[in-house]
Amino acid sequence: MEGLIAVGILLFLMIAGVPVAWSFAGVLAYLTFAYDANFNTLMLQGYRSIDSVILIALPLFVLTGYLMQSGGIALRLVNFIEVLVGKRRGGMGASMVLASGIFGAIAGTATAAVASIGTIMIGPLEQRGYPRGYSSALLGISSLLGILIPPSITMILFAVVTRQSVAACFAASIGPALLLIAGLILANRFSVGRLFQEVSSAAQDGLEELPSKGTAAFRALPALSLPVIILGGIYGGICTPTEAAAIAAFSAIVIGFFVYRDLTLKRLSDSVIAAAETTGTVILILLFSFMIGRILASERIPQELTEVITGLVKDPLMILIAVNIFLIVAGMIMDDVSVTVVVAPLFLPLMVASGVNPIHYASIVACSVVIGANSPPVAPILYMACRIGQVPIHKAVMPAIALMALVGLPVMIITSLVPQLSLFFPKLLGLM
Amino acid sequence: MVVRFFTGLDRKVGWLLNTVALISSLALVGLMLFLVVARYIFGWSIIGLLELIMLFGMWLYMVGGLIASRKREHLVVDFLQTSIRDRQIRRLHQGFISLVTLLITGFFVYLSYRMLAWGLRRPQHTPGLSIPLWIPQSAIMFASIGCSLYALRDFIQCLIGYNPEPVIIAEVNQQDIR
Amino acid sequence: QAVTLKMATDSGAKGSPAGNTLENWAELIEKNSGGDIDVKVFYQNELGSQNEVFDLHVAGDVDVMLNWPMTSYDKRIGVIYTPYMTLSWDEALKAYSPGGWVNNMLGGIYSDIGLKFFGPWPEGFNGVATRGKYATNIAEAEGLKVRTMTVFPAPQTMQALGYQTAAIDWGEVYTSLQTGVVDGEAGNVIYWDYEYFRDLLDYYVRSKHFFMTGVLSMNQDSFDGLTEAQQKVVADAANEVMMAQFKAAKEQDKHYVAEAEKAGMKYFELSDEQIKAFARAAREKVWPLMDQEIGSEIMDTIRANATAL
Ligand code: NA
Ligand code: NA
Repeated sequence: MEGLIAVGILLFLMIAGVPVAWSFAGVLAYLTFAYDANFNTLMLQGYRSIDSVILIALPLFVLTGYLMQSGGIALRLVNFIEVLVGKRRGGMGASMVLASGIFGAIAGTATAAVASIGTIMIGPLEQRGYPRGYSSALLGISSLLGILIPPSITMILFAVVTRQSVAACFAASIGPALLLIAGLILANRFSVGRLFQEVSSAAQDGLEELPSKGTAAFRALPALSLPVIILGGIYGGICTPTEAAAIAAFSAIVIGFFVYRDLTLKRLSDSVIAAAETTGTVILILLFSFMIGRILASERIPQELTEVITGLVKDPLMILIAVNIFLIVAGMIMDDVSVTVVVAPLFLPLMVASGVNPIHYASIVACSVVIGANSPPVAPILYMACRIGQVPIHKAVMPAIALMALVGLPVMIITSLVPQLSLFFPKLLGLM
Repeated sequence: MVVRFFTGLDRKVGWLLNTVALISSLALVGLMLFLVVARYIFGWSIIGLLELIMLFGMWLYMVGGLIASRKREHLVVDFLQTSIRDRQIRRLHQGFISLVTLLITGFFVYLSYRMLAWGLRRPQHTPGLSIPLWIPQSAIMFASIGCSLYALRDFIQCLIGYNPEPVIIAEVNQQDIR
Repeated sequence: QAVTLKMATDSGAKGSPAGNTLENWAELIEKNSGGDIDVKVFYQNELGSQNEVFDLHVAGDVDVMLNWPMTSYDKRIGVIYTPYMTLSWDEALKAYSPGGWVNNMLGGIYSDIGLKFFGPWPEGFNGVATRGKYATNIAEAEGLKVRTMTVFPAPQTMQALGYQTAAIDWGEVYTSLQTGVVDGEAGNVIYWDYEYFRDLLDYYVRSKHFFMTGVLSMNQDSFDGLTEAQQKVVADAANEVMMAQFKAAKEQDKHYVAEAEKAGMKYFELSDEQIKAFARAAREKVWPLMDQEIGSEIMDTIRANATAL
């Protein structure tokens, strides 16, 4: 009963438009009253939870994302990919997907990709005949590669809350990410000529001349070294994800200042402050979620939930499907941080009890965030893509739903049903 | 006159918050880098360096949250807000949100206060550098008070019908990544 | 009317030696109180990290606990981690038994942070588990990075023994080993390294720098809130599981040495000479630090009672 009231309060506050962090604090206030919590230790526990060495990777990867834009790293990456595949059929759309993928191997968030890649590519895409609504929808879902391909703040959050290995969670969603890339490129190719006519690159005029492949590759080399540094550092046993994050941020500053020379002191300080702000909003949500989680744990709510559900449904497959549906619905009405740190961990004991490996579950959660962040009514990434793409939301909703149904959902289903897809890379890298 | 005073105050506070965020972020990157270099190149392991890093991290987190409150940029589910067209209802809605936020941030202040009060009764120190826990913890207190003051600002501005949006949007555009 | 006590441990899952002790302790309390006391048991991580659960204990949210003491509230708790205080099982068990000198010292310190000390829960001498290479002396330890507990003076001790250190919370050790941040774990008796890291670590050298023990304790306010009869039930049950552990500890440790060897870990006992070389270095470098941190009075007691080298 208290649980239902808590969920009711949460949904009411969130949907009414109270900031998510304060919505959780509101629920916490109710729970302290319902369960007679000890105020001496409540915030102390919250403090202990966010005082985590693993979590420090989060502000650093967020900062790296901002620096990619202001330091000109994003631009070189996009140019490189465009030169590589842009001229083929559906090539511009594929470029956006691939650029998001490579971008994702440096940045830990989706928003960074939406802003940088969207700003650079939506215009050229329109000139090639892609409707803005379609491009924005494709941008929205592609940008989520930022959280499927490591580093990923979603995975850092999930790992911190559930006490799993960050490196293993990172590796788990690489398989689904590759599948999503393939699916999006295919869907895009299918759309060309059916949903809209692509203007052939030869017919374009008035467009800036793209550099040769060699030149573009050479210019992108410093940018391309970043994923190597980050992923090589983590999986080569040289540094922790947290240390890799610091190296990444530092490298982005060096490349921005001295190699591309797009970074200025003003831009650097703007990026740092913007990153701090983004980090702060996420951490406050996390802080209150943690305290809620602690109260629920000491009342044994997750265990009881598990017992109730396993009492109702016996078949592990049915449980897996039910959890998938629940995650998707939660993703439609909640933001991605809330789903990752509050909703998903609630089902972890249930998943383990029905034989799902926690690392496999991590990648299922990541897939649900891909769908959730683009599913109205609460679709922050899709809305942001529309803002960057300068197109009314209703023009992007249908293409977004189509991409979700034809690509996002199948990827999530395959990820759920085929554990090997998620566990292949963690096993290959000796992480489990 | 009053407006000018508060605008000036807001600028100064904004500058202060940005400076703290800047310092703690750069300290975080720098110290973490130093940790890696010290360990892998020189083979040193410095006791307590992580404690210092976490201290800057905590201030970064909390000041970041406070900056978001100042700019009204906390993550929000805004589809109701954006679908209200009528100005009066819109203002009523804003008033309701800021009042609820004010109450809840008040609770946040209370929680932080209780943590610090308990910390005075049972003080703790970090194992390496013996940093008293109240130093990182006071970042939380600072943020909670700041956030509730900004909630109060929003509520009062809504009451008197002062609409500050243009100023804020101009500031957001400088950083177009969000 | 029935009282409910929350019982927890910061280390030890259900079914581990520590977990079993918790289960027995709870059962004894419930049975001997004739249903007057109801005990809710929480195993490792169910209520949070080591630090968090100890916070809860000090604040009275966790009434009864088997804890591996955290030094954040009072550095003097670090006496339990005085390197090379005792060097043999006999001496150690005598010192930690009720009436023994370490036991007396701990009782006083625990009471100063509001906890009722029932007694220790000895595990045995700890060692260093590593991968790739191992060290039986200070020179060999050079270049080996090991994880230590986040308590004073654990990192300082390992540095005195020649290792590089990183103090890492128990919950993050597996990842750190996996990603190569550290080459080994240097805080525990072999059980923990066998149970959690046997796929990652190859060697276990019994360096004996600490005699590891958990502590059975109760929040003083929770204790005072019980009737005298109830207090006796809890304390007697604590005594019973403590005495059982005194008998079982050595065998348990031996059992897990055998299990670890079966699982492919190489196990090394050190000679008296090797141990004494380590002990001299640690006493020389760490004990003076402890004088500053926990006071000369306690350290003088330790100097007076410690095994002569
Ligand atoms: Na990423
Ligand atoms: Na959504």
